Amino acid sequence: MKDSKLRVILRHTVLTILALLSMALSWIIWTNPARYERSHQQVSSEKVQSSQVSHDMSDVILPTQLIRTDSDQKQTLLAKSQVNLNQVVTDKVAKWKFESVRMVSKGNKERYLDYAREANSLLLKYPSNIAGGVLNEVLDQKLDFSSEVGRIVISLDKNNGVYLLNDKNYGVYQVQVSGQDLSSLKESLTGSKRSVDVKESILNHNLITEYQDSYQVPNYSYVINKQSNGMFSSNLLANDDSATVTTKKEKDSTIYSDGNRKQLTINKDGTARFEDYTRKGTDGNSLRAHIENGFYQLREMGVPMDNMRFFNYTDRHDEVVFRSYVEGYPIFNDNDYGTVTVSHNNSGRVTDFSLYGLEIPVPADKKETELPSTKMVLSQLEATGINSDDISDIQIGYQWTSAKGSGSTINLTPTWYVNYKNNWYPYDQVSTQG
Amino acid sequence: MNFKRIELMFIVVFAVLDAFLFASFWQNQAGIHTTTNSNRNATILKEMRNDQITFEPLSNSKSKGYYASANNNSNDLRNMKQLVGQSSHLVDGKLVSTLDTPLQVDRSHPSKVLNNFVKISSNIIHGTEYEYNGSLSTDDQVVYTQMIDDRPVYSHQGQLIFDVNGQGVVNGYTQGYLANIEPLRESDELISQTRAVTWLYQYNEIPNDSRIEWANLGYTRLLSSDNGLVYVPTWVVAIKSKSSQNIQLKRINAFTGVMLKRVTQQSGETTTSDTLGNEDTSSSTANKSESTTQSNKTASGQSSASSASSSSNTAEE
Repeated sequence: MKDSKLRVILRHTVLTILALLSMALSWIIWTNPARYERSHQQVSSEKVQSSQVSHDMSDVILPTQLIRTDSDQKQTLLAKSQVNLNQVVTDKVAKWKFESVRMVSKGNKERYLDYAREANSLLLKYPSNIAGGVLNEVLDQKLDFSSEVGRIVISLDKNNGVYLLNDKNYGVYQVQVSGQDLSSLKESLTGSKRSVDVKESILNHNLITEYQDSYQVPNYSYVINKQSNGMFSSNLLANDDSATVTTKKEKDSTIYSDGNRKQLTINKDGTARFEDYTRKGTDGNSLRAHIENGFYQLREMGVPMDNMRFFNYTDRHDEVVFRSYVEGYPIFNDNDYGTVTVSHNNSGRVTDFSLYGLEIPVPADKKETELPSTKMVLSQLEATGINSDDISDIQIGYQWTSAKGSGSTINLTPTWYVNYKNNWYPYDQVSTQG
Repeated sequence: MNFKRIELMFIVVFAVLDAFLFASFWQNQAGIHTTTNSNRNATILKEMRNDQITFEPLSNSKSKGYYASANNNSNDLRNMKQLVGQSSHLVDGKLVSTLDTPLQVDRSHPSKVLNNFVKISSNIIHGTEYEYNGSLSTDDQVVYTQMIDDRPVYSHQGQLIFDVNGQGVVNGYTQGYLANIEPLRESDELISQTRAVTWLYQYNEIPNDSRIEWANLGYTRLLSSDNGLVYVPTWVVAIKSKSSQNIQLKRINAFTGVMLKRVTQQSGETTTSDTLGNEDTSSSTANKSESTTQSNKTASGQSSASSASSSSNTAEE
């Protein structure tokens, strides 16, 4: 019995289709990320989260200051009291597409300042440099750019006028942008409630924001929240089923340990240290890896992250610091409450943090505090014999002090903070640091 | 011939393989569905329907809101001289006023008459700050609320309540007033209506065989400090059991999703309760045995709530 030609062709076709389909299905199944995410999510869903809103890196790595330069190069610091303007602006920029980047200047301080003071522009200042890869991640871009960047200048009257600035080497990089919607960006800037006259200038290789006049800065009060020891020990130590956590109580602290590689020490004053020797020191890793690892560590702990911002990175111990912020200003505390520091030594990763965090804002006793202009503070410091070369940065910050007669309420009082010999001090205490 | 056989065998083998791969692909897809966030909500909503809980379609959109501060010292309400045609006095910081000439209102549309009445400064102090709230109003009471960020205040301190009798006659009103309403912080993202209701269900706060009457975003008092009161964006959810006339109001902190509770004194013993009778007496006809069973449920809900979230906001009201 001879097959008709049609039948032969039909069989061939069916076989080919079936074979191709099986290949396609295998490919889809093998490359489907859900295969891996499923097991991953089962772990994370068991985590105790202090806040039920999940956070991405773009919530923590944000510019904290927005400076608008007008056509006469007059600069003002923008703030709106009801809207998180920094978030609004970065959300808008994240909708643009950064196509390509080229260096336009490097090592030239004057040119660098010209860009930071470009007429009709908006300057976004991150607290310190982040890696290009991190910038891609938080602004949802795919730019081929690996240098460090800490400032972004956006021209408000011409397209493609986006510049990435790196204080360390005075590098300026111009970005080609598509889908840029400048009018909607400008619209979001109108009606800024508070605006302060400032001037960008450079202090020891650092672009600082000089307040031209004395300035009334609002005071804040907060009810603070003390997280439980149990939350941290379960988030940090008991995250795989086999771990048995032992607890040892000492005079001033409680030590939780999973037996050998991880240890959590919680002190009576609410400060805590987590040592993780399963994570190798990250010598030679990139800035991007350090910031990312720091962020993942922060998220794993389960501390409330609403007010947390990436603050800085220092080479020494590959230290990444996250600090609580209020209305664009960092908060400092003698015990480092509200601060998370992720650092590395030869044998592993060390995270210092505290059980306390800001929870609910309450009306403050005193509405405002008057702070002197930046120039005044710097000349005052010089007058007390401080070598200006030892000052690498100056900015307004809030001092976290407990309110009288109330254990759970704290006051945030603004003052000038000075980075003196790589430590931050209130400006009136620098002279006592020697 | 041989080639034909081999070819047929291959067709069968590949068909079986494809069927297997397709099944496994399908299973994977289902796995993703249960793990993504919005679909988790959908699953919970389905569970709720299985528990005979009925509700209108809920919204998934997220809006923004801020912590606000206010004062409720009654100084503003002491300006009683400006009021005409009524006798007023202050009780517990609230203005209680009786009208010389009672107002006649249409019981089904009371706001038609009252809207005009409220806006006139010789009738109501700061009357322009209040807006009619249809959700809180009942046959016996018409509720106007102050607004924070264009959202109603679901606490007595910011409400103006008219009592209406069976004939539609309004004899007087009770007014609470919040002064100096100000944002405390810049606004932040809030949870969606769907998320608020599903949290409430997960806290075991929605009894079987009940109906969600409404779920509104408003402001309620979170705490009071020396320098004033703090108000927080809150999802207020009204739940009506199908077997009774009771409406209960539950409150979910719209920032954190944590349930807000009040501690009230009931016949000498402190219990936690959130019935409408305590929060907003407007439409509650508290049934004694109902409220006891509810209190028990609340207690179990509390434990599930605190296991779901380690930080628990305790609201005092």
